[in-house]
Amino acid sequence: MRSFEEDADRETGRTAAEVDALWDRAAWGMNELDLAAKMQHARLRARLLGESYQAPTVGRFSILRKLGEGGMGEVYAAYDDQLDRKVALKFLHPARAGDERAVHRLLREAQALAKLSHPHLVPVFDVGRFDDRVYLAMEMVPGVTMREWTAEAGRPWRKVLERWVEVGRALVAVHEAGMVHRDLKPDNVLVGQDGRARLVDFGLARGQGAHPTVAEVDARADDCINAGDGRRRLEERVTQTHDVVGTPAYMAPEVRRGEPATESSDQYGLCVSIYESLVGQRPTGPTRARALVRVPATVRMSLALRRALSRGLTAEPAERYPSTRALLHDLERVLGHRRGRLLTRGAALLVAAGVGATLVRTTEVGSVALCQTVQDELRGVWDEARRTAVSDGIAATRLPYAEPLARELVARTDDYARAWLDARTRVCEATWVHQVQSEALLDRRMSCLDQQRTELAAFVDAAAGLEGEQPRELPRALTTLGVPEECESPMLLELGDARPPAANREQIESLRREVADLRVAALLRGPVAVRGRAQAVYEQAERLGFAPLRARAELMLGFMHFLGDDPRAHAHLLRAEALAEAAGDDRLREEASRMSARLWALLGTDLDRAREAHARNRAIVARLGDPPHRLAALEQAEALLLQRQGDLAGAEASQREAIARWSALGERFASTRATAWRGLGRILCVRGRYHDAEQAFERAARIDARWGGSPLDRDSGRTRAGMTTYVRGVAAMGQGELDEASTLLHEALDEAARAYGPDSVPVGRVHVSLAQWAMQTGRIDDVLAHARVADDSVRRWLGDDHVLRRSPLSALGTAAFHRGLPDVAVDAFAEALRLQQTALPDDHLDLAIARSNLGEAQVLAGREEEAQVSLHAALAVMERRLPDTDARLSYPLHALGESLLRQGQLRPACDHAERALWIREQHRDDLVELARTRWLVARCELARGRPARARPLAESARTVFRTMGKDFADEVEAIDAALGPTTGR
Amino acid sequence: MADPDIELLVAWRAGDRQAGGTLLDRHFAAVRRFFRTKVGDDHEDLVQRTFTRCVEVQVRFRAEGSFRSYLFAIAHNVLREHLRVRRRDARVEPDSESVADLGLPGPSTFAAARREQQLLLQALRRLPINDQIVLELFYWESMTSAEISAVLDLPDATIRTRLRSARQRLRGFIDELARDVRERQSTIDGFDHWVGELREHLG
Repeated sequence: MRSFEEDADRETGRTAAEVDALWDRAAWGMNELDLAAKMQHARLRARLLGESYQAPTVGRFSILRKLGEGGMGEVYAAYDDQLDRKVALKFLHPARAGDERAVHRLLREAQALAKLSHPHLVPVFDVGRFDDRVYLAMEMVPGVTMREWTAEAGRPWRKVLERWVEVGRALVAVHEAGMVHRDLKPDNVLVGQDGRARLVDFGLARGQGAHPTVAEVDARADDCINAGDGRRRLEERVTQTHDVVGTPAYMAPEVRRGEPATESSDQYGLCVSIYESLVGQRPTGPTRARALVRVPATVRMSLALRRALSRGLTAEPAERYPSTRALLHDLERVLGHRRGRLLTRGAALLVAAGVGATLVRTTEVGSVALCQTVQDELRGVWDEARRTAVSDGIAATRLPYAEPLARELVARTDDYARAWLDARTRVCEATWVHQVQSEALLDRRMSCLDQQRTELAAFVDAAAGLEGEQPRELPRALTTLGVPEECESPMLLELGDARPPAANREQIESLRREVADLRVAALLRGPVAVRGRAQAVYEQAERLGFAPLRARAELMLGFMHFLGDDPRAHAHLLRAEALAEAAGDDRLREEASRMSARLWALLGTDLDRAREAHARNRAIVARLGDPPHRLAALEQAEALLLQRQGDLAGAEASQREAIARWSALGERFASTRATAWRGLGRILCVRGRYHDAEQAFERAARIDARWGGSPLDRDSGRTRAGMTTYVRGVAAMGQGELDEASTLLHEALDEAARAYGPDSVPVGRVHVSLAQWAMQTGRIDDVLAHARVADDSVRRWLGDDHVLRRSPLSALGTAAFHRGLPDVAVDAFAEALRLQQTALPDDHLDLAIARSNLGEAQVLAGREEEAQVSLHAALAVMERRLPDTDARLSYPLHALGESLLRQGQLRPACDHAERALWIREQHRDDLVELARTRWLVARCELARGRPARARPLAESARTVFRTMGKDFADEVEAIDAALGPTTGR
Repeated sequence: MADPDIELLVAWRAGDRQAGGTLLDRHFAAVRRFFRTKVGDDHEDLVQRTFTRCVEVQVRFRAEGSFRSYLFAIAHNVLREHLRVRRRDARVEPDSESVADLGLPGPSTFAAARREQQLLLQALRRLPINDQIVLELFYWESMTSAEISAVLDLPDATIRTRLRSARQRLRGFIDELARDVRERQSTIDGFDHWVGELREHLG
């Protein structure tokens, strides 16, 4: 089969055997590392064979997606299943194919690298081997390359040099461990979102002993080409053959000549890079000994910096600095000259030295003591007495999980307090010890910290003074406190002044505290319990008119409604955003816009609003400099939105990203991480990956176990994740395992009732699912019963006017409609419509569909005038919003035809009926509906005196109705009467 | 039916998932490669469509037909449909138009390890699509001219002629594309070699 065509052979001289050999080498699975292909292959198997998707694994890592290709090799995002975090897997370019010794050498070097630990090196968690590729599992560092970072307009030179000094420190650590980097350049430095620089992409492939010259390198490249040992990149500036690694433009002259890379050649590469970052171009070449490097006329560089770089750039290695540490020392001294105008070029690249923190602490003198009193600033807020009060308060509830909850809560609050005190100390020292902070910035930082102390006090008091209410949401309440590190951001300087005016300062401070109290209380006691007090405080804040306080009050009220899934949150959140913008408080704006996005996505009634809010949210997070915890929350909101839009793959990816970000943020956000895992579980469940979903819920449960279990489990006294029963039930229903579904859903009903009480949203939710189950099994009476209970539960919990009632009401209406209970159906649909009107704009498609449902029920009830009003209104919107052939149009058209025909309005009745028929003939997926419409058109034709067309339509309808049995006996009888009973059969 | 893959396909159609899995594992790489050289990273859906159609469309096999010719004939159809959609319903002339004419994504997205390989990929993209397919099936999938003729539904003799002329055209393009003499030389000398090696990359 694979034999070569002879005439083609003549031309090439290749033999069949050679081609066969090539073919075999490339057979699938033998391809060393095309993980992208493996992932695609697994997806294909999943889709075509119905298997669950198995991510390809490398060691204990599940591959998520390819991130890109660097000089070092391919990089993949992966999950560390053991340690539950996302990592970057770098697969190093392979050693010479089949060269075991080369693979081992690479492995050894990678292991040595993994032992290094330094704040400016990316942590390497693990080193391994996959086929003949060596890989490194590294921390995921979101960020940009130094080249991209410096390219951003308005980077002050000082900031750029600070980053390079960080790189220099990492390099010192590398050198002192006896290693060499070999490929220093701006592309191999990553600046993380935290602003830290990290040296990456070590050139690890350098051999020992052999030192090929450039000419030899070229010759070898040819050898390699001719030997077919491919898989290497030969880019313009990157030379990478067997033993030489590096980028010519940054390579020291001796390395270009073929000598081995050394500490000194790294020094050269570092200086080329620094020069390039600061000047905008690379130096013209190496410098002569003790000469100064040339600098373009448009750039002024301080002599000290120019000297330091020149020395590192010297052609002769012996004339460079004796060590990287020595070079670093001089660079740090350059930075030590505060406010010096060391370098200018036009106006674009540079701004005058700012007030940012300096790297060199030069003046740690007697004033240190000044900031020690800071330690007392949490006295009365979080000290030994408060700690005991919280422990006792939780113990007094006598809940089975009180002990682990108290222990964990105290530990996490300790963490928080420590972070706050650290931030506070640094802010103090910046002004009094290092004297690098302006008073304006100090003020803003202090008021930011003050606000957080108020929130902390509110939280602690709530935890200590539990009065009957369940401490279920305490862990979540802790995560809503502001992040102290954010108060150190220099960006605060751009924000408005949040200090209250002296006149009514006291009043403002006390209201600020009340707002904070209410926020915690809304979480712990539920929105309804705090509604009255919240409204009163809100009005007082409005009267005082101080914008930062009003913004907070609006946010608090928005949050309260948000917790009750109440669309009334919308107006408050929008006002909170506007007020926060006026007050220059981007952090508050961020929170308000995120809550808006989540609100609309959760309600699912108006995704456009969700999208708009999400876009605003994204912009504000970026403006704030992408703080990690806000990015994580953003990602999670994105996942929710994507899920609602039906992009489940995208939702899963975003949710996993969010989880990875929360994981990176550590224990402070553990309960948020658990929530995110549960969110992932729900997404996976919708995707039909029930097994994976279970595992996600398990993960959440394991985290929550520290607090004594998840909110739901804590109260039900169970240790496993309680949601899984419900989710498994829904999943079983999706798979058509109806018996299993029934068992699980009833179990879930018990759990939800125990945890939240019989009249609660969770109970309502399970009843809605049970109604769906009954619908699927044809038990119309059960549908009615469950839908009624569901609606009652939701109504008692959230009130009569809550939009969440729409799903039970729709289920109720549908069941009643099919049961032949027209009045019940009309009432249910009318109520559903009324509630949706509060949440949706007039021309929303969902609203039109609700009207159409109501209209159909009204036709059934014989309320022709009302029906026609509903149906015309529905059609007006649906015709605008849907294509002509959309099946959904056929329902109001048919109903309208029916209603008009009854009233003898032949012409419009027949027009509508014909259109309904035209649509249904094209779909033919619901034969009963098609038969009904055929019979309707047949009656029209009969009324118009056209029996010839009426007869075949009616007969085909009768055939369908007959097969449907006794439910359609009336229709059969009517057709018999019209056509004469003898035909058919 | 000598081809065991055809038996697997029959089993898959009858609901045997394991047989389907074996077929997928066996031919996934080749089908992916086929689309990847022509539509770039956009190929996943086309690969899936090819296999779906392969199992869903009920076709009798001619006794001499091989499964691979059948599979690639489907792939060829899927590709033509895809290209037609891209051109907004204009007719694609696969014998005169090339992937480059159609403005499809370039091979830069491939892991073409060497400049020479990129050169070859670029040259391949300039060939009429059917010529590209003939060369790729011949070199990468080691198909006989008889099998290729079944894929493209053209007489065997035509395929042989086309193979020759396609190779000549490819050389012409490489001449044009190569930037310097040395590079061109190494590309042409290693011609068959490159083709084989590039396939490994496209895995």
